[in-house]
Amino acid sequence: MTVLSNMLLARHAHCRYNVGKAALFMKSVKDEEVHHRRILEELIDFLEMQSLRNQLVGSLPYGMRKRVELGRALALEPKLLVLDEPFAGMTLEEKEDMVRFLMELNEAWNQTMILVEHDMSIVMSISKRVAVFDFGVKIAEGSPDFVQNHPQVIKAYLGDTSKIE
Amino acid sequence: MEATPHKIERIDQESLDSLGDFTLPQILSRQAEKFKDDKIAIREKSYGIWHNYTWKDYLRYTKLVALGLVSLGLKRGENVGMIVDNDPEWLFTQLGAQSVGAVTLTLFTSAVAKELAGGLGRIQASYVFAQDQEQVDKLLAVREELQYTRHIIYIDPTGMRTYGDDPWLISFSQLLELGEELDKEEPELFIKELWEGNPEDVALMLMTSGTTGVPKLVMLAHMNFTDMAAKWIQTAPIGIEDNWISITPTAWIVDQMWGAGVTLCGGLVMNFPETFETATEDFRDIGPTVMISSSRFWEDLASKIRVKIADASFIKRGLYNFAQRVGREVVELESEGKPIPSKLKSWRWISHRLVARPLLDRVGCLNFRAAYTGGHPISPDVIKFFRANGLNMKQCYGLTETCGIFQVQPDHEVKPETVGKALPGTEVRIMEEPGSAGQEQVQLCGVL
Repeated sequence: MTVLSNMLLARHAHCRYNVGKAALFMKSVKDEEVHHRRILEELIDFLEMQSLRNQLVGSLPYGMRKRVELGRALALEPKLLVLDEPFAGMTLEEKEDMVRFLMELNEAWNQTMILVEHDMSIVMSISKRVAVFDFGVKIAEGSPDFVQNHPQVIKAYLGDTSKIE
Repeated sequence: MEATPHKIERIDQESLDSLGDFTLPQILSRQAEKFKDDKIAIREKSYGIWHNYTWKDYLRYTKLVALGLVSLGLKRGENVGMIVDNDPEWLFTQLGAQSVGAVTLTLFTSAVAKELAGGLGRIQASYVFAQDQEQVDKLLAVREELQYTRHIIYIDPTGMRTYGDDPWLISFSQLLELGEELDKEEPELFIKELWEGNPEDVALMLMTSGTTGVPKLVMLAHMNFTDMAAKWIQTAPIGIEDNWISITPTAWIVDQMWGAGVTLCGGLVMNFPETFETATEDFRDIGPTVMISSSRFWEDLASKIRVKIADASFIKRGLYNFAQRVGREVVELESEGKPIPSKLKSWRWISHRLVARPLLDRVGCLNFRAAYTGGHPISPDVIKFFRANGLNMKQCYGLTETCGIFQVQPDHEVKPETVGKALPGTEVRIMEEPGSAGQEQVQLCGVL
């Protein structure tokens, strides 16, 4: 599947026409298709994937595939974007690109996001609020500074210093 | 895609003869009067679609940039630096600055901050146009050295939100708004400024490639460009609405000569690809009628074709080899000036239709009336390869100092080992000095 058709898949959720109308090539159907394509093109422009449009997703490098996935998720026009370890296995450069996109999404497009991630440097540099879980129990929530200095977080992640003495 | 290149619609003799009497922005305003909204001047691919700018749009944006700069405080004779990609904004900015008497200098977008500061410092640029955040960051890093620069104008606003409060930075759309305001206040101002220009004034500056030393600044006047354009329009197979695709950097003479010179004077269409990476795809979309590129581009293309052929099926390979044999035989005879026997002619007819034309179509070269190669020596084999496939490929030679290319192989006298004859009205002398290689001296209208 090409990058474009892959992302178009997500637009099914917003499709208003039915098979009958599509079979008749009605104008409303064509207009709607143009509308969907325009949204995708804006995303492609934003994610800098112009040269990948007609390439097979399977033939792309790993970091690029992740970018296509982000594009497909955004094509759904979600109210809340949940990202589960979007940086896993990426090279440093790919991570930097992804961070740039997420920041821009958040600040310019006003996209609300929940990021689940254990690359601490990224989490602490881009998050506004951080919640820390230890074996399924929330142990702290607040600004990155607050969380980093929270005694329970330090205990859970770095171990209990009192025992060493 | 068209099967055959359409007929050449040349510009009328009167306009051609009078080119030298005008500056480049003045020519733009004349073209806009002549073609109005009927003909396309610029095409740009964005969001996956080609967008058109007519000649009137071209003039309108140029005017807004010009007035925007005046409103910021640009004075006649000041210099404007440009670090821009191949985008319509490049042309609007360049001609806009020129129409109010400023001189532009384009620098490479790939240059490091120090280089940019050096180049901009040498011309004491009053305003600098930067393509995007990347270029702005470089300029901010050397801000202390850019004390002459009153404002930076950035074209692409992506990622620029966080810089919002810095008064040194202005967005391109803000500039256009300023231009619009001034136009409402003083509607006659642009015309007045435009016609104050003199064809002998310096239009723009470029850096030489610096192959034989430190890069030098070259000052080129409007008449250098119009003269070069007139020569090309007379000799090359180009006409109104023919396509030129802008893929070489804007800081090079090739695209300056064509974008600022030939396409403007000859009414050609300037095409801008979506991004640098999509250039080959967009190239095929457009199917340009004429192209000048470095020898590396052509060598690369030739090897790509050969690799693909090696992967093709047995039948395709056989047909290709047959077409190559026929083509090469014809090329040999042609370059020796011998007549081609009628049997060979009919074989060529068949091989062109079966192999060469579909092949050229695949790589977007079918509409070429002429393809030029220059910059570095090219292997004669590559030229023979393309000519055997029916591509009218020629070598040419030029320098930044001479405002572009002045030596071209004429249509029927292509010898793969030479760079061709000088364009009409150009004199080339080789200076023989004892103990050194020959040095070339070129006599062109107004140059050297």
